[in-house]
Amino acid sequence: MSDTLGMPDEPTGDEFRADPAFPEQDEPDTAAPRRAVTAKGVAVASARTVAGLVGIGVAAVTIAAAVLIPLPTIGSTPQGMTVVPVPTAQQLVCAGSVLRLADDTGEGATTVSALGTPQVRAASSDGQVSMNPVETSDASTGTTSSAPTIVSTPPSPDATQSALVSAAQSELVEEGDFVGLAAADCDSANGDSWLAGGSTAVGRTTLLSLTNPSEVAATVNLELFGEDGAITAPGTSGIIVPANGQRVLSLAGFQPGIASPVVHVTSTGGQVSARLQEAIVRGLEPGGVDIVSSVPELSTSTVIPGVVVTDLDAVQALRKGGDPQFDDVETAIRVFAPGEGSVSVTVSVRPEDAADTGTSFTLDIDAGRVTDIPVQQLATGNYTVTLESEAPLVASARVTSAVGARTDFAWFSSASLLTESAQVTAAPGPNTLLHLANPTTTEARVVVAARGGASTTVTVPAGASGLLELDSGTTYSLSGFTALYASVSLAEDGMIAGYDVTPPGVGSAPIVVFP
Amino acid sequence: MQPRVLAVLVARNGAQYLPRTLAALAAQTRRPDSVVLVDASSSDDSGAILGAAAPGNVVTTPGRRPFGAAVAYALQVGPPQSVDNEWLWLLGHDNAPDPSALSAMLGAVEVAPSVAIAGPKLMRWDDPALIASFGETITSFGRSVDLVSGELDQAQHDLHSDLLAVAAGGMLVRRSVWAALGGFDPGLPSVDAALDFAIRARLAGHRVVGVPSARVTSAGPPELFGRRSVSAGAQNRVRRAAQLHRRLVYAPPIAVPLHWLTLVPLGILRSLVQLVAKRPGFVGGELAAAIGAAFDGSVPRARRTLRRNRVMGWAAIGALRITAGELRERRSGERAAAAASGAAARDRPGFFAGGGAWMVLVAAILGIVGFGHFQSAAALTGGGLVPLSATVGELWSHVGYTWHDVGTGFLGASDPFSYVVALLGTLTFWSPSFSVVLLYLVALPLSALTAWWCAARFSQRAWAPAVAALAWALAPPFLAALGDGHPGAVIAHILLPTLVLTVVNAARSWSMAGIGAVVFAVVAASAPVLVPALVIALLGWAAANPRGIARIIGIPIPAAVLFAPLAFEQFSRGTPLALLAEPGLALRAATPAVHELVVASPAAGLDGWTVFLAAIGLPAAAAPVVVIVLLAPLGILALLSPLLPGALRGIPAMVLGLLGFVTAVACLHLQVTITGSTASSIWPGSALSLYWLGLVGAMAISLEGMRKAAAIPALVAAVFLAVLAIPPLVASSTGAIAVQASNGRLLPAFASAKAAADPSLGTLEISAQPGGGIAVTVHRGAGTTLDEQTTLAATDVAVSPEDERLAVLAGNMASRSGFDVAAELDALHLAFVVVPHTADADELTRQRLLDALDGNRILTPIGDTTTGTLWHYEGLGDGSAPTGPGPLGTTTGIVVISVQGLVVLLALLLAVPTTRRRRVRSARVTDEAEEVAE
Repeated sequence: MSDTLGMPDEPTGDEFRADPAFPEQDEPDTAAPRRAVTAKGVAVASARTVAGLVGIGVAAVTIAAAVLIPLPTIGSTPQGMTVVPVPTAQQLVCAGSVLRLADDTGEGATTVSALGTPQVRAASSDGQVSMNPVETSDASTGTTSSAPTIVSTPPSPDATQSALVSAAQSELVEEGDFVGLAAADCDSANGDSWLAGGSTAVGRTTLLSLTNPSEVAATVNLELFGEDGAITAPGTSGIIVPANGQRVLSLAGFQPGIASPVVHVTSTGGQVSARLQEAIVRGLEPGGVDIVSSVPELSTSTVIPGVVVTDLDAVQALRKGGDPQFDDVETAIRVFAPGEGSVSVTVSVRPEDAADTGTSFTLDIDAGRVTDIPVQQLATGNYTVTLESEAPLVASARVTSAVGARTDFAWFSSASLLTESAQVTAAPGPNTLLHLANPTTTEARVVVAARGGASTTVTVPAGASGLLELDSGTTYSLSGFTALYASVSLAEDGMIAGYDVTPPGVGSAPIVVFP
Repeated sequence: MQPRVLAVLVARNGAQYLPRTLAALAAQTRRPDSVVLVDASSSDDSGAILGAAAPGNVVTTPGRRPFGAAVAYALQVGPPQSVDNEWLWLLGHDNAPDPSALSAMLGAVEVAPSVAIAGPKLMRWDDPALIASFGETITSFGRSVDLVSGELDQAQHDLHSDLLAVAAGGMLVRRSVWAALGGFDPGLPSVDAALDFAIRARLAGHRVVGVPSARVTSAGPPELFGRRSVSAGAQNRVRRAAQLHRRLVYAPPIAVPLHWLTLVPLGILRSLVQLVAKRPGFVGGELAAAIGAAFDGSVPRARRTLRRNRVMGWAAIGALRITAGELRERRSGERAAAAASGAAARDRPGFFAGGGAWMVLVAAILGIVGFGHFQSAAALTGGGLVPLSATVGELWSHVGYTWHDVGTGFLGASDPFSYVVALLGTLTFWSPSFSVVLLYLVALPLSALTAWWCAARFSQRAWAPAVAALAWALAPPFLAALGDGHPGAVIAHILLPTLVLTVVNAARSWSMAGIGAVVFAVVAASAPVLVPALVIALLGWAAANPRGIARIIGIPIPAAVLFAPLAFEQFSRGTPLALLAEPGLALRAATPAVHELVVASPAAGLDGWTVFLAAIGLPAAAAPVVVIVLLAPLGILALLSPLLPGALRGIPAMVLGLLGFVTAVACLHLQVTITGSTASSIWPGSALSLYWLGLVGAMAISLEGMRKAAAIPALVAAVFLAVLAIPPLVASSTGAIAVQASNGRLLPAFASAKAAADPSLGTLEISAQPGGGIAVTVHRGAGTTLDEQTTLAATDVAVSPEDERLAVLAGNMASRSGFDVAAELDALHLAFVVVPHTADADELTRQRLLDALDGNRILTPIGDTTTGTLWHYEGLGDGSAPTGPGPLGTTTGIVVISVQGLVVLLALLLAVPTTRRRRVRSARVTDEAEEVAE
């Protein structure tokens, strides 16, 4: 602005100060260095240097001390409060009868109908159990005894000790193409579960049964995986399962020709109990029936106790013809890890005979694809299969039983870890065996007490397995262990079935609340 | 008939004056006929000096008596009146008369028989050329005024002889009049005693004259008689007390009750005025004088004395009162004299010429780059930010001691920060939440402005303030506070330079002390963790400025009063450290390592460089090197400050920085805030702001010390610090920060809409915690706003019965349970359940929670919302939310609000800038007074 007014630029402060003609303009303290060296000036400068170095030293020491010296942390810790939920009526959902697409005349291939009636056994540790069929079902079995049964117990009067309840069903089917023994325990409904089993290849029918025991409708979303990876198909999301009802869907309806499906079921609203039911027909020969129960969560340490191989020779004999239809009579382990990349899995197959440590092998599987690992030449006997993996996975074992041409198969799912006590009901059927696998490094003495009967102690060596024959249809309580996997198998004359023992429902476990 | 003169010389502790006074008395051309020397209980050797001068004529008063009473005592024990025409010559120990003084006065009274009182011209003891006092008068309101004071005697006042009153020292009074009027009023021990006596004499029909040719010395005003010094406050109290006494005495009977009733209210009003006038020391005196006057037992007797002797109306002295016009003229003259004596202003860089405006402009542009996209937002959420209450009334209902709708609700002290939030929200009263948006938009330029102002106070050249302003606006802890949503830390950062500026200036100015106290209170409320460091710094500054100690020490008072209720509750709970908790929404944040604090990074991630380098494809391992290089100019310049000229300023700056660093380290080790299942340490950002303040201050002082050589280092430092701020600014501008624009809703729209009709409607928030377990809280109405947050709840670890009730409800809702959830929801008036999306929650627990709520027949799932998964309890029955009184609903609440309001109001009154006044100085004996004035 001064330019436009034609005035000389105003001197800035800097020029003024720098002008030696006006030394008095300088501030006394800043002027010191410019004056001739005097004793006072030297003293000021050295005092400043000393003070400065001391200051820098203090700063450096403080920072170094803060970085190097570990200091204690003081403060408060949150006080959580353990809330024991008020016991409620416990519910278990049984699978219901074996189903088939099309009726007994072979028509109506899109409708589902029931084959016979399962035998259901249930018991509760406090004695009161009620069993009611669901009200609606896609198989038109609502309110009949063929419908899935809901087993419930009233709330325990003692709030801290909820009752143990268990139930199991079995059904021997011999009708047309459906011949075989199917057994399953009754499990609690869940919002998130995995099913590993079944097939939609030619001659294999796999039905997905979703049963909602609750009082609110459930919205179910499915994720399907096969040997080629994830399967996208219409109709897998937003499946409404009515309250107290059953929906049945054919997996082949989503995609046919999957040899190794795995289904991930999630529900919102009500919770559902999801199951697969597989039936095999090889040519004109019925190949068996089985019900696959769900696994609630993936794990990096998966145990499948009680894999029963009834007669290796008979199975081998079936394969002699080289008919690819009989490829799936071989014992196999289905493994699926969600995600991407390669997952290293160590599989150990250990006979229940304690003296034999069995075999183990490591292989890499592709995550995101379902892998069936054939376990060839597995000799007749009972085995515990353990899978240790880098990533969480779901696994199950398929076993075929044969007597001559008559065959049946069973899917043994991985068992959940039992930590305190459990209850198991032996499904009505032949040759019912309880398999116990001890994952700990100490010997477990498991007390198996028949309800209203005698108790037996089974000694399970560390890392090994135990076996006990059960009375068909009887309920047993298991106690005296800290960690245990258990399952039940039924097998006789070309009929085989099995199910795992589930721990008491987690929904009622105490929870820590931070108010 | 020749008049007879009795001189009465009263001495109290006047040994240093007596020899000269006695000599002057002896040297009178017209010597008094008799002399009485009164020793009014001196503690020095005045008595001995008097005794040596006239052994027979010394009277010693029993006990300390005021001047007038000492004279009365002397007359009582001394010789009785012998002749009619006898005069009393009243002298104090400092009243050394000129040799001709008595003869001049006698000359004046002899020619005018109506004159009963004559007063000499009082000259300064130390400088006889200056008039100390010559005549007194009163204003129309009765305030006493010295007609002449401190003027050089050029005979300019020698024309006026008829006066309303004269000073007591050197007063010549007719003894009969003295006796008739009863001497000086005992109710007026020093000030106005002579004035009152003269007024009474005037009303009794006598005249009062000043005799300019009679010169007598005086060492000080009457209140100083016998004392070494009187503080300004005490002086004001004595004067005010005398004025009130006279008012009650002079008032017509009918007006006395009115005057009496207005005494205390007027006292309070005048106290406030004194505060505004920057004289807080006068406040106590004003109140004491008012209360003293209200219980002044000497008034009735004084009124009787006045009535008995009064023969003329008050109109008789009306002409002698000072008029309003004359008073104004005198005042303007005083102001002009004071202004002329003021120190010349220092040479400082101007805001526009010195680059301040440019730096603010640059900061404003960077602010728009970083946060401009928020300009259309109604509110901000994310990090520690939640919207504010919807109305100003609600905002102010959360201050003081009030009911808190947090959890199950409780009655307790609010955080002082709630005042700050309420004030902030009131700025945009039409939409309080928008004030936070506004704060974000102006944060950078505002911080540049405060930093520039502060730095300019210590600079003569433009470089240092400019670089300091940029460094302060782009400070890593500041940008982190903005990005992570720490409103308290943002406000504290903006105000810290102002605090430094006002505290430094408070050493010399009451107004600055007032502003400093208010700023300190706001900073302390916004970032309580800074309080210990700031108090230490204040004490240091007070120790360095003993003259300003009263002003500096008072600065934390408003903050202390604001924190007092909260401190009481925290102390009685046994958790005093919880007072340091950051106010606002409690957050779970990753704590930085100590070496990250050294580079002023309040959160893990080296001021955002780790993420930034990874994003642009460089190895993250380079981040420490980059940050150290970018901070190097600042660090080196800061460390140089004690070595360069100006070290005396550089060292305090370094100490401030060190205090900030130590506080930041302490923050990491103080886990006082509870969020769900974890205890979080205090966010160290505010402490790092203090650390940064020290560093930037030291850098600015170094740059100032380098004088002309400062340009290059200043440029390098500015460019490096600007580059350092790139990652956080980029993150803000791309929205990659926790704070996001929001529609101002705290809860899902459905719940908000329902709550609009019923503000007490509750929403139960259950969240799965990282280590398993669930946390539960309750939001009432539209949600828990920023102003509703309370550290009292956030730092509470105890489980109360109400907490337990809520926990049982939540625990059962998260389970398959036979608990009667509906009845409890009814009882607590809860209509919604929300499970927020939390990244760190334990998945299994969260799934269990969702499953249980989904499977609950009485809850209708609404679905996923932006806030979380929502369920509606449609069958809400009768029940009422627990509620409690507001800020004014309890006695405690009213006391808290009034005391806090009063203290802040007083600080604000003190802070109001008023015209430059003469510095109030204690009255001292004159020779010392000059010394003090230098």
